[in-house]
Amino acid sequence: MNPGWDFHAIAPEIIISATIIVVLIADFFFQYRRRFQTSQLATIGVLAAMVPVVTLAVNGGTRQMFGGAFVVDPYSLALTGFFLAAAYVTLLLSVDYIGDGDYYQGEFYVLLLTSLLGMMVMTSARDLITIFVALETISIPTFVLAGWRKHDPKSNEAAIKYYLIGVLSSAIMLYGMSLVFGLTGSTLLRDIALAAPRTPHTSLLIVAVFLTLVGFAFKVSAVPFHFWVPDTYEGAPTPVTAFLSVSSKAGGFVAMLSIVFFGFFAVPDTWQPALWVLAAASMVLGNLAALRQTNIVRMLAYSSIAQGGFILVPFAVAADGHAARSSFEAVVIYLLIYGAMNLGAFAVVIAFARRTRSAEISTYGGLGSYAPSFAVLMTVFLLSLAGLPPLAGWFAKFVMFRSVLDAGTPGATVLGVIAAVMSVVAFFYYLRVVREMWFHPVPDSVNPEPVQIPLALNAAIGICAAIVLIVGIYPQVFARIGELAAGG
Amino acid sequence: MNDYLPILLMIALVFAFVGVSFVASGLLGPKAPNSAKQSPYECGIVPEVEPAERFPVKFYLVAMAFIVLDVEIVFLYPFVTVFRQLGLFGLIAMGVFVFGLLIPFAYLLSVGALAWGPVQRRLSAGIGPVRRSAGAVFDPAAPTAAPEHEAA
Amino acid sequence: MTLASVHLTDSYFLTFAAMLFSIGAVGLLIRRNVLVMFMCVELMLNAVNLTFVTFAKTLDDIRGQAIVFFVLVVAAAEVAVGLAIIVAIFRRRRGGATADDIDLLRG
Repeated sequence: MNPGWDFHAIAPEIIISATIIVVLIADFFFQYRRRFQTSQLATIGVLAAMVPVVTLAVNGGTRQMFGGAFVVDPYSLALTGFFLAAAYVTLLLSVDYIGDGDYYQGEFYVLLLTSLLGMMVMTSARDLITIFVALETISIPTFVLAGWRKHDPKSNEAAIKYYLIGVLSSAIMLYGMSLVFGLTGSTLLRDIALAAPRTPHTSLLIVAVFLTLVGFAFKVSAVPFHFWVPDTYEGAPTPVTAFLSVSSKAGGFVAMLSIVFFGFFAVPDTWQPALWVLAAASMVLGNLAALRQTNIVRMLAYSSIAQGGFILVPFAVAADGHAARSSFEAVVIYLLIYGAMNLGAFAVVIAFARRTRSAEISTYGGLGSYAPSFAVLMTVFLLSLAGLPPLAGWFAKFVMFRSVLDAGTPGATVLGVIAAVMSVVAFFYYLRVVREMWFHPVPDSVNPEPVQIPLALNAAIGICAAIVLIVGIYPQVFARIGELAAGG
Repeated sequence: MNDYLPILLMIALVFAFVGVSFVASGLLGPKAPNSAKQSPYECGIVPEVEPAERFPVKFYLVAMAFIVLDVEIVFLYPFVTVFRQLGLFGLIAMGVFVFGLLIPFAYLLSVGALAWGPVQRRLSAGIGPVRRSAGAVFDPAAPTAAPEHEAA
Repeated sequence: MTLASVHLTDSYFLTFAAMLFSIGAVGLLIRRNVLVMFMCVELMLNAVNLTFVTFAKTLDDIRGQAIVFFVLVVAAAEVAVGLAIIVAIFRRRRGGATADDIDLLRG
C-alpha cells in the first residue's frame, strides 16, 4: 500500500538523492587521476533534477503529500529551480578550485548536493518537523564545507565558529518549535495558522515564534546573529563562501517565508516587531561595516548581511495595508536576483584570486587597463548589487520599495526611509572597488597580464551576467515568476 | 504590542540586577589575595604531573561513526509499530533506508577508518601521493603545503 | 508524605525543561572549553526533547514523541561533525581545547 506518495512531485528530490549515492560510490572506484569525473556526475544529476521541475511546472496545480506536510506548488517549484540553478553555478565555480587543491573531490560534491537536497525539501516543507530536518540538512554539510581546507587554521576557525553559532541557533529554534507545538497542538503550518489566533497564551506564543525565528535569523545572517559571517566567509574556501552567501541564505529565507506566511500570518504581533528590528539593524550595520573593509570577501560578506536586511524589509511590512501579496512577491524576486548577482561577483573574485592569491581590494588596481572584459563584468555585478538601473539589482530594490508603499503604515515608512538611505551608502563601497579597477594604477605585486580563466568559471560568470542584464532590461521575466509563486 | 512590555521589563531587570551585583561586589567585597586563594584548588594535593596522555584520535573517529549509524537505527522503531499497515511498500521503503545506511559504512571501509592494527604509512591507491592546497585563495603556504600523514 | 502523594503536573516538566535549556544556553555562551560547549548543546537539545514529550502527553498526540527521534538523530549528526572539526583543529594545534585559542579572524 502506498500511503499517499506522489513520485512525480518528489522526483527532483529523488534524483538528487540518487546522485549523492552514485557520486559517493563512484568516488570509491575512480582512479585518482579520474576523480574530477565526480563533478561531472554531480552536474548531470543537478541538470537531470531540473527536468521534473519543468514538467511539474507545466502540469501546474498543487500537489500535497504526507497530510499536507510536503506541498509542491508554483512557489516551491520556482525556488527549487532557483536552488538547482544556484547549485549548478556553484559546481562550475568549484570544479577547478577543488580539482587544483586535490581536496577529496567526491566528498565535496556529496556534501554540496546534500545541502542542496535540504534546500529543495525546504521549498516544499509545510510542517515544523520537515522544516527543521531540511534546515539541518542544509546546515550540517556546510559546517564541513566551511572547514574544507583542513590544513589551514583559518578554514578550521571558520568551521568551528559557524558550527557553534549554528548549533546554538538551531537548538533555540527547536525550543521555539516545541513551544509552538504545545500552544497550537500541531506541527502542520496549516493547522497552526488556524490554532494560533485562538490560543489564550499570547505572550508565550510571542516568545515561541521569536525563538523559532532566531534559528532562521542566524541562517540568513541578520544582525545581531551575524558574528560568524565575516570570519566564516573569509576562512571558508571561496566557492563555499559563494554557496553559503546565496543558497544557504536563501534556504533560511524560504523557511521564514513558509513560517511567516503559511503559519503565523494571522498573528502579526508575534513576528512583525522582531523582523522589523532585524531588517533595520541588518541594513544599517551591514552597510556601515562594509564601508571600512579592505578585503573584498569580507566586504561582500557585509554586503550580503546588508542585502539580507533589504530582503527582510518586505517581511517586516507584510501584515500592513494590502502588502501581503506584494511583499511575498518581493521576497521571491529579490532572492532570485540577489542569487545571480552575488554568485557572479564571487565568480569574478575566485577567477581573479587564481592569479593573485589575494582578496585585498588594493590588488584590483588597474584591472580595467589590462583585463578590460573582466573589469567590465565585475563592474556590472557590483553596480547591480548597488541597485543601479538597468541592471537586475534595481528591480529587486523596486519590488522591495513597492511592498513598503503598499503597506503604507508609519512603521513601514520609517523602514523604507532607512532602506533608501542605506541604498545610497551601499553605493560608496561598491563604487570604491569599481574606482580601484578603472582609475588606480596597477600595484607592483600584481602581474598586469590578461587573466586566464578556466572554461567552467567563464561559463558561471557568463550565466550570471546574462541573468543580471536580461532581468535588468526585461524585469517581466522574474516578475511573472514572482506572481506565479504568490499564487497566480 | 503591549504583550512585549513584560519581556522588555524583564530584560531591563536582568541587566539592572547584573550591574548592581557587579558594582556591589566590587565596592563591598574585602580583597586579601594570597597564593592559596589564587591556586586552582584551595585544598588537596598539589598536582605534580600532567593528566593522562592524549588518546589516539582513532577512538574519536570510531565513536563518531558508531554514534551516527547507531542513532539512525532509531527510525526502525516507529516503522515496526506500523509494519503491518504499511505492508510491502513500507518494507521496500525501509529497505531503501537501510541501503542508504550501508553506503556510509562502505565509505568508512574505503577510507580506512575502520582499519585497526599497527600504524602503517600507507596511502590508499585512490588517494594521490601528495595533497596540495594550490588553488586555495587565502593559503599563503599554497605551493609548499606538507604532504598528509594522517591517512595511515 | 509518601511519594505517591506528590502530584507531578506538566508545568513541573516544562519548568524543568526551561531550566535545563537556560543552563545549556548560558553554558554555551560562557564556557571556553569546546567539548563542554558541545555538552551544553546536548543539554539544550534534551531540554527540547523533554518539552516535546511533555506536550505529547498533555495533548495526547504521538507526534510530539516522533519529533524526538528526529531531534536525536540530528543531534548525533551535529556532534559527529563538531568532533570532526575539533579533531581537525587539534591535529594542527597542540594544546588545550579552548575557544580563546581560535582567534585568527576577527569579526
